[in-house]
Order: sequence, then C-alpha cells, then structure tokens
Amino acid sequence: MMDDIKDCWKLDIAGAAKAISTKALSPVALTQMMLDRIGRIDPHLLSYVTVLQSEALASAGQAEKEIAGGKYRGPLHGIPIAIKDIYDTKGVRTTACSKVRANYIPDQDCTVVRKFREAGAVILGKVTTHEFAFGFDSHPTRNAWNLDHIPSGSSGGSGAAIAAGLCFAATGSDTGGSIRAPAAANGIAGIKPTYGRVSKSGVAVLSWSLDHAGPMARTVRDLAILLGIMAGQDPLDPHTKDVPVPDYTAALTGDIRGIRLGIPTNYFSEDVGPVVAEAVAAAIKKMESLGATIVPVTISDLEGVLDCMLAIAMSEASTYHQASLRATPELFGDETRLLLEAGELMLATTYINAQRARVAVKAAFKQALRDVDALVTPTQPTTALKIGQTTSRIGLREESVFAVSARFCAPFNVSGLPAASVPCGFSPEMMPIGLQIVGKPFDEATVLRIADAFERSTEWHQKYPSIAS
Amino acid sequence: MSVEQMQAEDVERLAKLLDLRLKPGNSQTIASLLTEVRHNVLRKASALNQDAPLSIFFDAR
Repeated sequence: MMDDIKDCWKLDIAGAAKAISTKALSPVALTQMMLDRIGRIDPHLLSYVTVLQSEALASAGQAEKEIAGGKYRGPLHGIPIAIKDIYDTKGVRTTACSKVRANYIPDQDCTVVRKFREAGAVILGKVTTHEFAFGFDSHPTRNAWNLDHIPSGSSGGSGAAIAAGLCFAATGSDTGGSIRAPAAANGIAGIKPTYGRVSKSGVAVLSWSLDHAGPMARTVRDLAILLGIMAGQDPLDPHTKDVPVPDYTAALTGDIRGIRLGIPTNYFSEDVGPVVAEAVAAAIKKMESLGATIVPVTISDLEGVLDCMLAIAMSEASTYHQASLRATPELFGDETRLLLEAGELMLATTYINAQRARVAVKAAFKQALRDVDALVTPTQPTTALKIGQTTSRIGLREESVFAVSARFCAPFNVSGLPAASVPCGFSPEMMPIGLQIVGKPFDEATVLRIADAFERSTEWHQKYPSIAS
Repeated sequence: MSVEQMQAEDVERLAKLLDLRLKPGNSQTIASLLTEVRHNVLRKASALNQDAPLSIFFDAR
C-alpha cells in the first residue's frame, strides 16, 4: 500500500482491492485522486469523452459505506474504471465518437457495464474510440508515451488512459486488433477473449461476426479479474456460448514449465521492424528460460486473411449503418464514410467467400495449435505511428495504417481464438512493444497463465510514461 | 476467375441505384479497394472445397 494517496494510481487492481477490502484505502479518496489526475493530465491526452465526476463520487461513497458495513463484493468493489464509448451506459451519452450518435443516451446499461456495476466498480467516465471502432488512430487521443504519436485503436482512449494512470482498467472491443493494438502501443495489457466468451449486448456493432468485447488493464492479473466478471453466456447475446467460466486468477501460477509455445516461422515473422523483432525474440528466450518448450510452427492458409476480414467487416458495418448512411452521411467522419460506402457495394459473393475462407483459417490454426498450448507472435510489426502518418514502411513493404495495425491481430478475429497482448520492451525512442499470446478456443486461462508468468519475470509493466508523473 | 478493375464510374452508377450520396472524390478509392478485396478473397476461396457447408453463426470451436 502506498503511503500517499497521490501515488495510488501506480497500484494495480489486485493491490488496490486488497487495501480497500482491509479498509486501508478509501474508494472515495481513490476516486477523487483519479478525477484530479484526469483534470490535470487529460487535457493533454484527450482520452476521456465524458467524465462522470459526481456519479463516480456517489458510487465510490456507496462502495465505501457497503464495505464499512461488512458487505465487500469482491476485487472490483470501489475500483475506478473507464468504459469505451461504444458500451451503452444508462443515462450517459454514448457517442461512439461519432456525430451520428452525438445525442444518444441509452436507457439501459449494456451487459458488461451492468456486471461491473454489480461487482461494485466505480465508473469514472467514457473514453474515446476511433469512430464506431472502425480504425486505428482514435483521433483526437494521443499516445501516453509520446503525444506526437497515435494511441492506436480503436480502443485508443482505453489504452492511453490506463497507461497515463487515469483509471485502473477500461473496456475495449476488438474487430481486427482494437484491444491488442492500443495495448501494445501504450505499454499495457489487453485480452481479446474467444468469440462468444463475453456478451456484446448493448455494445455498438461494427461487425457482428468479428467483434469481441474484452478488458484492458496494467497487469495480467487485473485482466484475469476483469475477464472473470465480464465472461459468460448472456441470453441477450445469441453469439455467447454456454462454456463454463473458470477462475482465471487461479490459473496464474507463475509456472510455465512444460508449456509448449508455437513460434510461427511464416506470416508473423515477415516484415517485422527490427526493434520489434529483437524484443519478441528476447521475450521468447525469456519464456524458454522459464521452462517453456519452444516449437517452430508453420501456419497455412493465411494469405489473403486481411482482405477476408475487411470484406466481412465492411459488409456488416455497412448493413448496420445502412439507414444513417442515407439519412445523414455528412455526419460520418471521412474515413468511416468511405469504408461504409465501399461496404455497400461489396458483392454478396465476396462476403460469403470471405466467411467460407474463415473456416479454412480456423482449421489452419487448429492444426498449428494441435501440438502446442499457445502461439507467440509480435502484436504489431512496429511501434505506434506518428499522428498524421498515412502509411508505414518496413524494409521494402509499404502499407496503410490499417494493414500494419491489423496484420498480426486480425487473423485471430477471423479465427475467433483468444489472444492477449503484454508489454515486452521499448524502442530506443521509448515507444512500447507488445507480445501477442494466442490460445485454443475458450482457453483464456492458459493464455493468461503464460502472459502472467512472462510479466512476473520482466519489469516492462512497471514503467510509466512521463505524462503520468 | 479473373477480376476486372472496377472504375470510378461503376461506383458512381451503383451508388445512384442504391440511393447512396457518395462523398465527392471517394469513388476512385472505393473502386480500387473493392477490386483488390474481391480479387484476394476470390483467390483464397478458389482453393476451398466447393461443397463445404457455410456456417452462418460463427463458432470458434
């Protein structure tokens, strides 16, 4: 426990919860400290869309009263968190960072927010997203490590706010990398669970069949706590599956001896920036030193996977926005409008072929994971791009912001496999680098176990950007 | 199967049919994007078993 409340933003949820449960830390003081930090730091970072000052303090007061009365709800009780602005929050504007939804005030919480409230979490406010989660720059939010760089996206507000110590955790959503890319870009942890693990009811749709909801936080243990609350079948979301939710924190043994890690020899090793390649190679060595067995694997059928993801995402997004695109097209941002217009003209046969190709991609990963427990790859081929940069060049390969951001992440939206990103180093310019760990369907426990063991053996997650201090 | 390059005029004609008000200047970018996506998806799909069932509700398992 920190001596000064002003330093308590450095705690993780597990640490803060321990102090709250023993009444050594006041949820009201913790919430006020976070609100003060948001007021002081966020004008530079621009990660919050809406700050719920009085609601958060009232909720923290309620938590404090309950805990004092002996009713401790669990590790999220009294913990200040943020919600991505595509998750419906009752009575609170939920804009998806789009003029199309500028005045949308839901009359219900989405399932995930309801679960967080029931767990006693304090909601500080809503954080930015790339418009309707359809992109990677999350304008106007800045990267917490360098304000001249993008925080990546689409959950850029979540990533930047956590890294800068403006909340203990946040929700994210991931259609082509939107949890893992900003986690990597901001030096924090995030997990995209298996498709069907977490309810998306009340979360604005980008693509019904590719969207995943999941948590972002500073440590893997915090992800385990958050996912344990978020996960489970939901009658309001027919995509969710009736698969038992284990105690994810129990999986965090710190022991990965005997774990077999598949290291792809193709696709994920191609056109990777040298700084990223070096950090990932060192991470793999570290995991080997912890007792994991390293197994080279080749993954077939990945060529064209990004185009399949795009065909599906564009077609489904255009369907979702069909009416608004005709009624008020001028309210969409330029990039979103272009993708939605293009999606309207996608052939049905292209969409269906892309859905058929998913089956082949899923089978290829099933084969690759047959003899290993997880795959390990870079989360991104490069560190966060500069604001305004429209392309990225690695060696001879020049690609769009979308392609470079989605290249290593999107295959796991297409396959639906669980995938986490944890920090594994920094560039010489002190920009964070992410390591991606991918598991078998509904085996988030193993992904978290591996990520946690790696995190415990490194100090990357204990570094803070200067804006946070 | 070959994929013909879609032209800006094709996009504009289709948009009119669909009552879509395209943002001025978007049609050429859309034509190129759709051509590329269609080409790459078609190439990938050509290797698939034609009789394999189509799964409407995706299941990761």
